[in-house]
Amino acid sequence: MNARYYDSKIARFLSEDTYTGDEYDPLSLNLYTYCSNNPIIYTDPTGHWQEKDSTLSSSAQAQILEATKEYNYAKTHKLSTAAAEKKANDARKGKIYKTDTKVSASSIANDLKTVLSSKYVSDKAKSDVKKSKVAVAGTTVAGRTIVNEINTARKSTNNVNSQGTGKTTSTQGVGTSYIESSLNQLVYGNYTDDVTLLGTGAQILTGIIGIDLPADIRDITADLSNGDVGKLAIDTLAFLPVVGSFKYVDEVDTLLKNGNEVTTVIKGGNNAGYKANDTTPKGRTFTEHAAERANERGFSTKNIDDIVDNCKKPKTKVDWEGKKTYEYVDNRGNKVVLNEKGGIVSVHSPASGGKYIPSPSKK
Amino acid sequence: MDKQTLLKIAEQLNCEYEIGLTSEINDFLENQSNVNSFHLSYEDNYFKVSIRLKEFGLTESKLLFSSLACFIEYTSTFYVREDFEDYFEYTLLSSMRSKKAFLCRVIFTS
Repeated sequence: MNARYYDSKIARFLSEDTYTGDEYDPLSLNLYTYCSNNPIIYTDPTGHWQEKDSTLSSSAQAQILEATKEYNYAKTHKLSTAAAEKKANDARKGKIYKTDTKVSASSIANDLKTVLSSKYVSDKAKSDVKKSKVAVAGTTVAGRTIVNEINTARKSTNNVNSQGTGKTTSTQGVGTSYIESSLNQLVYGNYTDDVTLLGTGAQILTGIIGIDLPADIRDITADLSNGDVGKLAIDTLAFLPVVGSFKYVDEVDTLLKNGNEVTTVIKGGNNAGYKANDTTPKGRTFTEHAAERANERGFSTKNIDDIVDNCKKPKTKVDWEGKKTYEYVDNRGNKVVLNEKGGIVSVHSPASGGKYIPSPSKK
Repeated sequence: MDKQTLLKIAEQLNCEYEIGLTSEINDFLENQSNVNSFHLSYEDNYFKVSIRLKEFGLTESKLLFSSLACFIEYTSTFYVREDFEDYFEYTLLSSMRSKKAFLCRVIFTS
């Protein structure tokens, strides 16, 4: 302790550190702390640096500095410091981590947009956000879990897309490393040039068009609500650097529910464009009336086939003209009405506007 | 707008019986707590719905009618209300863009 006076009883220096600190490293700004309050993984004979670290390679030193930031970030946010400690120790053993951030901004924006706007994946994305509680409170493994969940969600979208429309989107993990880097940046304080550049670029853009910073998923859901695709893309970019923080988990949960509904409208889930004489996969034909109802009430052809196929005892009704109809109902009250020829004459539910009631797990 | 004006508009549309609508009106009214009883028929190119309310009044009639209209309407809807001493009568015309349409007379009584 040659540089400063140290009081072992209070574990504080009695004079300021000569190193003035790093704005991204909150604990370093307290010039009276010892080893960023972490005497376990660091010794600090000079007031700055572990005794033998200066003999390490420059990449190892850089990794230790990164680990220090990660450690401080984790400590500040009451996260596990295990990953940061391991990273620092690995650097001292010569194990240098590689980062891969060579991903284009547009592909990331498109990927995230796909995930967030798909009616099939929005629920999954919501689930990912909930799991982010674990990521924030947990470890590197949890952080990786959410990355994997997002990618799984994206693959699910692509599977659905390829089955439903014949169009296939690339699933080659595009964006994975960027998302990981973003998580690392936010959760573990691991800044890399690409992430910082992209995040900064997005923030400059959002600043130009007047979006509050930092952008987060609330901006994205608001964009979905307004149908503002251009702003959505930019917000999605700006969102990535803060994805790991998930500061507003409950609020996000609510907004995602709204986002789901809005997304459905934007993606045409409530207006699938069915027309008279269109058929379901099982060959049931829409009347003009039923096609109109299915469009506005969100009954898909699959929903209709499922309701009919799973209802063992349809009700038969006869109107005043002697015409028969058969009513098929599922356990949530969604109803499909067929005529004597098996054609679909109505779809409705007891819900407001007769809208299709999804299963609780898909709400 | 009076009822005659509405019926003139209806002449330009393809008003017809729609069996799916029968099911929808029946199911909607069966689920309304303020409905004591109702009767649905199709006469003279009109759906005719007579509804006996548990709590009868203009406000109650307006509320139920607007819910029913919201449930059964197509993309364009017009309606006219006529007030009588002991009942309210709505004439509703609703049409798709394709001009497929229906006319519905809804009568609220106590």
